[in-house]
Amino acid sequence: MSGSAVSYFFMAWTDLSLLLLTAGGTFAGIYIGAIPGLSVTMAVSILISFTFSWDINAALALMVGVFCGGVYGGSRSAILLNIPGAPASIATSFDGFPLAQRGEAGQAIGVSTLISGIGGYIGIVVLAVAAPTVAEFALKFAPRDYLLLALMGLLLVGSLSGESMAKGVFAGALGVTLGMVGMDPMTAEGRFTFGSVALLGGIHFVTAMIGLFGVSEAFFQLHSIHLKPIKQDVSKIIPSWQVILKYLPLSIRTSIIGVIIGALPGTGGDIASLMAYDHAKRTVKNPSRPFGEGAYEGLIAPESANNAAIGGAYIPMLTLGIPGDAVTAVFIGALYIHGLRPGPMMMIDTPHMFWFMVGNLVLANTFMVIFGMTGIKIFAKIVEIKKGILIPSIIVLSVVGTYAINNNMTDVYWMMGFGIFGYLMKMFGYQVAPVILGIILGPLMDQSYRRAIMSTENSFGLFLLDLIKNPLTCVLTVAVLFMIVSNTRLWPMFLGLFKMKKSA
Amino acid sequence: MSHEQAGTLRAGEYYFDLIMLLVSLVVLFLAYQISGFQLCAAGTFPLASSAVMVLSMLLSLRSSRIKRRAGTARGSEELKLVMESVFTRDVLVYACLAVLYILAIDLLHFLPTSFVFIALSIIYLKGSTPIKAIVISAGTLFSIYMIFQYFFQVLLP
Repeated sequence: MSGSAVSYFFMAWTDLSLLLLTAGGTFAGIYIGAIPGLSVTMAVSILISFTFSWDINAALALMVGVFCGGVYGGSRSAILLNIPGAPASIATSFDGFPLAQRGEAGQAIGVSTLISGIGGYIGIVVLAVAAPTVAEFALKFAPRDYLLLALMGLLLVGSLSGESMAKGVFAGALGVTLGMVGMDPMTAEGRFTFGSVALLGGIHFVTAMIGLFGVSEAFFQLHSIHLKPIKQDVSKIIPSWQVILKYLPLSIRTSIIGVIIGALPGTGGDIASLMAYDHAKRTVKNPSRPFGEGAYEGLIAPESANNAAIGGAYIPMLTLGIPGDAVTAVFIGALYIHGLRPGPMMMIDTPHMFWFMVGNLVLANTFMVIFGMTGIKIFAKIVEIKKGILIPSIIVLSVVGTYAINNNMTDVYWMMGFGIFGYLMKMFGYQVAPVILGIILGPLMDQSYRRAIMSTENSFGLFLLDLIKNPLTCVLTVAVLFMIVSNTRLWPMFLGLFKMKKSA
Repeated sequence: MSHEQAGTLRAGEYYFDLIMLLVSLVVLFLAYQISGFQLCAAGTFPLASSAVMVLSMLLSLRSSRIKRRAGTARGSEELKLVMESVFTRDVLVYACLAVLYILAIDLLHFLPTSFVFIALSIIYLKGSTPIKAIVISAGTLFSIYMIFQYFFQVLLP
């Protein structure tokens, strides 16, 4: 880390306006995340359109704060109300809410705040150490490797985030197709434009994002509008050192799981926290209480993992330009809008941006712990905001956010269309996150594929040969094939054969 | 696909899958029209992605059919279940209100339309009493106006 890198690392700490923006973003993120029905993805999606005209550093400071705070805040409502504020907090509710039912909500929030902080720092350290190396390595990546990586991301998010692989893949492919709408950047041909000039510019991904994450969620929340929240006692909050030390080894282990899962393209805090919970369940022999009945281990594992996954998700985002999850997909959009192109060259051409973001993450994580520990009483109040007030506010904010993209009402109509469609998707068992990932990754995949084919002088045979000839590409090809095969009926048959051979 | 057989079929899910299949087929046809079957052209990737849409939907429909055989509601009973679970009265009324709201913004102005929309929503969703709804609506709009006009400096619709 050179001298200039150190100065960029501390930039957000020493510049008062950036410091305040990070603090404000984290504060807002925590409370947005804590309100059931408002997710961190929704907040960042809406925010991105408001910060178009801002300086990149200021926009990033605010959004990083909202991201860190939002992931943490999402767990507050999971503990207090059994309503996860974000998918990353689903696993938190398994043991967090039983703890609240036992009247230990205060202590549960206290412990999980500190553990979330530890998880967050571990994630950031791994990001700072691994990202420059990964970027250097990524320079060797050919277009075909990017195609495979993006495909891997889509398959992962499609297969892991929903109940059905086929529906996940459909959602991803739908996103890719939507990402193709507009003028082809390589030949200037129109695609799916129906001769309309308005469609030549394509469908802005922020429009789709606000519709799918904001409005559709608002409609979805109408189903639980009459649920009454339970009042909580949150007087005892600060955990003792002994408690922290007792759970530290588990927290470190699950943080590492969080970083690794977060770093895989297409997987984020939601899968990381579920895997961490599973890990805790399998490895902790004598939990404080049985899992599912208020075990602190069951709260600590997902909490450290989902915060560690933030640092992890930054690795593919900054080094490869491939989002780790839905929120980093929004971040990539924000970086593009501000003229930066995430990928290995960004790390080499503008390393200061990388160190600025790392420093900013550390700052946001610190603010998260401070605001988390001091604001527990407010959480208990804020999670009780009536949905009847919240839902119209989400719709109005979504309208303002969408209009701000191009100052055009047509975008707002599209957004509402996406909102209604997203609601139907959710109700019929489809995931909306792969659609967004598809919209972002679609153009990248299209261009990578065409460059890869051009490099083989338009020979499909040579292209296929390239997929196995190069060792790195071969590993990626095998990984993609494995993901597909492991979700078909061939896989159990293969495993059966393997077991038979072993027993023989 | 192995794990799709798990779980039960939602009311109307089969028909939604069918509609998605039809949409995918139309998209596939439109993608074909871009540049036909070519190895490297503007239409190649749209053709591939829409083909994946069709294939994945066929697979999803196949598992839906298997689940349907296991005995789920049909006909008017299924329609009734769909109306109760997906198109509930709250969702239908509120979706219409939201659509009317965005259409009205163009005719009237953002501030009065949003004021009426928030107040009506709060009253309909029983968020508060009518008088409180008006006060909350005015307060929310004032905050939105101040934050977005002065802090974010964006144009309101």
